[in-house]
Amino acid sequence: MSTPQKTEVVGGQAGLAAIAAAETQGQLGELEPEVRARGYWEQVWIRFRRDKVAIVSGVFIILLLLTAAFGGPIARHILGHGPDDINLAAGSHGVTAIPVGPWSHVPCSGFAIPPAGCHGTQLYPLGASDQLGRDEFLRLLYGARVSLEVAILSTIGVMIIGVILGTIAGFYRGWADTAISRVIELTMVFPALLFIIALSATVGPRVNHITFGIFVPGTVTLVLVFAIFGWYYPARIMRAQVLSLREKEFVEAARMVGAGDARIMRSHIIPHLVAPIIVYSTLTVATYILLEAGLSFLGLGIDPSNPSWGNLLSTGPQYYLTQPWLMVWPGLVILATTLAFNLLGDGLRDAFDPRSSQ
Amino acid sequence: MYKRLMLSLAMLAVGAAMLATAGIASPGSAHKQSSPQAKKGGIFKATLFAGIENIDPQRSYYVPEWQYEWLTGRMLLNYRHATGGRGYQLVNDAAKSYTVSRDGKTYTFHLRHGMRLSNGKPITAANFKHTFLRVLNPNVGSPLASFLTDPASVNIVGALAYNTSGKGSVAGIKTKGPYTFIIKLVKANALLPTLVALPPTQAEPTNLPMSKITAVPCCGYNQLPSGGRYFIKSYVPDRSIQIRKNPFYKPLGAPATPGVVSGFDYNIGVQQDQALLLTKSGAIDWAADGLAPTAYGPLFQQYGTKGRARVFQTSVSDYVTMNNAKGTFSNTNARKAVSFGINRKALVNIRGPKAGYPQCSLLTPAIPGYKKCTAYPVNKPNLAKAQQLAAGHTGGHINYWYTASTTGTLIQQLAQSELNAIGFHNIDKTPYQSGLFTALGKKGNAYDFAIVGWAADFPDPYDYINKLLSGETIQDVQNNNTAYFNNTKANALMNQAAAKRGAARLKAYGNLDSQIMKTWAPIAGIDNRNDREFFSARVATKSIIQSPIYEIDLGKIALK
Repeated sequence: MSTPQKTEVVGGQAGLAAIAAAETQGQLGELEPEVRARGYWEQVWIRFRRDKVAIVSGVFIILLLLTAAFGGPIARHILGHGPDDINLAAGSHGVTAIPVGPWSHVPCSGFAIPPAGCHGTQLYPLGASDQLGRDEFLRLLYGARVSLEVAILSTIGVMIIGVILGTIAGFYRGWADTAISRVIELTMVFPALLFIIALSATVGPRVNHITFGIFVPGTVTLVLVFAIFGWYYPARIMRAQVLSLREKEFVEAARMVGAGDARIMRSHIIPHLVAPIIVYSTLTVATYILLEAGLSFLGLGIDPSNPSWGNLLSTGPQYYLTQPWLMVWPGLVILATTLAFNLLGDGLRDAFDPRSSQ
Repeated sequence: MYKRLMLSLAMLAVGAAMLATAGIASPGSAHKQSSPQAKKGGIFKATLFAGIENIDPQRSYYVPEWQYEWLTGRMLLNYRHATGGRGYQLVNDAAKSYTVSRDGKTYTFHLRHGMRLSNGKPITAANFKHTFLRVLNPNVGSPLASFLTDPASVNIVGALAYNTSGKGSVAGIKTKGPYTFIIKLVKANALLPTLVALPPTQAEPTNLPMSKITAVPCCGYNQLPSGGRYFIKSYVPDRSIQIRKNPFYKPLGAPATPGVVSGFDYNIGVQQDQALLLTKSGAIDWAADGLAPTAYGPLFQQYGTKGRARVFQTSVSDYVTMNNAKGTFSNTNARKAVSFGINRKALVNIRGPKAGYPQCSLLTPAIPGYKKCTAYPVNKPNLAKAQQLAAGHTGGHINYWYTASTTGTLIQQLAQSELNAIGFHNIDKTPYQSGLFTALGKKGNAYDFAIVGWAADFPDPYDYINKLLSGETIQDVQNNNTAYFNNTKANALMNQAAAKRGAARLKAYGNLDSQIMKTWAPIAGIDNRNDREFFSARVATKSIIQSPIYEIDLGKIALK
């Protein structure tokens, strides 16, 4: 008795070949005795895992998310001080009074309020972030949480609004499509950046107070603004997809057996949108990481007293000749993260739709 | 996919190379070789990060505003363009002489003949009358009005009523013929000559409107006419100021206002980091409102403090102003807790090297009568004492207003951490891009805590103690007493000190400064700030002179 051996068969034609092989009792010769047809998601996974760059990007993002969630508190415990602890000895070092550089040991006496059990010196692995002498490494870790929160929550908001409105517009067409399309156009031409600047100068400080007890001031404001002004692009993509899908035979078949609009959308249309949603989401996360950094750099994003990658980057130019590391660290993490999300998005797009890369 | 990755990496390499090139190239490559000798003429180019608050000469009050107003204005008297103690000396300017009546209440100024404004029109007593009416008119909103209507000090007859209503005339401001200008006071006060030397009292065209001027050209002229060595040719709010030489200026026997360069161009809204690079490269000559605190250390290391980079001691006092009229800091112990709990040395150091000296008094060593404050710790906070005093008063909500500059934000973060350490946790921040002091000066505002600085209008302790702490000077807007401290006993003590003369007066003020801080702690002194400056290589370093009143003397500045 021979050991059954799995063979990778990709696509419907291979499936037919397997059936033919079974019927002709292996006379076709090329196929092993047990051949199994692949499902859609399995095929996607097989294509995806061939893409090593996308896999590495995915692993990097998972590690980043874990670091953002747990890295800060662990590092804080190990280093013995927090991301907001002010240490003036670390912030004003030497005759030029600049923040200490990477791998510096700073005396505990420099802390405005010494952390419990702080004796001798404390290690600053990436140096101090500014004149207040706060730990750059810890602030990068805690900043990852803030930047990723903004990017991921904004993406979720954008996709929820975009998918719902795009699906309604594409499925119902007519006046609903006309109304939503006009709103999309209005949103597209709205000067979002000017609005954000005006918002931050007027009601911004008040809106920043909305934190739900878990977010740092400014997070909710940015998420709301990004969601309100970013939904139009996925809505257009989804509308185009749905316009095509609603004419497919399986939708017609569902309608013939009496399925209502809601059921058709829920069970037959939206599952087909999962691929573009996932691909577009990964690319959008990268965009919002950059946008958060850009706005915080301009002083319009996260409250400057809280760490975010944009805030850390914004202090860098002050020291670009004397302590250039302060531009390098946040720049590197933003670069690596956006690159990873983009490469992952490309890999997913290729995996979901191999023709798209041809 | 690999192509994309390679492309990304290639772009990264290109970007890094461009950044490195920019870093290497920026400071030195744009440097232009200048002649080593100072020369006359040329346009001195300056930047302002926060801009100015007022182009209206009667409203001007901010240090960079007075720096050029000192040159554009023609006042009755003026401060000598000199350093040190000589810079405090008053000299006759538009007035060739003045007399004081025997009762000390009437000042008669005799004007020089032949003076002209920059539009060619003659300067007469009517111009000065119009100026003083503008200062006192509530529609103009001059901060100097409170100096001329103070019942405890200079109080012009009829000025208070006019300042309240804006209607009628001021009996104490008169002209007698075209060249005699008379000011009558309610009671004798020797401070008046000091006040008529301040830039807001400069001669103005008689048709300048009794409302705030916000842009130049204005008021039917192609400029803002003034009688000094220079005039303001244009002002585009938040963009630029152009100042040029007044072709009609003649000293006519008065000490000539210096004016070496042909004009000044201010570019507004330039970030401090950018201003540093532009000054290094010679694209601009000076950042008028200073550089980022981090810039000074490397600058002093590279250039020392005697050449392009300079450090001057000033009369500027930085202090915490707390709203005594409402909320948490209406309680004396809460205010004292702040005085004990703030880290003055850290608040000075956060401004960078050679930023100043910590102190807990309001007066500074440059002001006559200064007495060292010993009531509160200067080098290290006494947190235990602060927490003890704050106990029971920490529950209230605190509105912390601050200027959102690089320095202002750092100071806010440090001060807030100190407030937290004392026990004040319920803090809301409100950033101001500019105009913090004006906002604080509006009576009834919502602020509780802010950090501000005060530069002497003139070298007299009255300008600090009475102007910043007397409850009798509180008005609806433009208050200097931003603490809204109004204590009957303290007011009486301030009035008594203002009425004294000579050494007794100075001693009284020195003691009063300590007494007020110790007893009521309406504000918390932080430091005596230094003036740190950095100029381009185009500027002749010998021409960098400090005036004790106006800091850098722009009239003497020369280009190579």
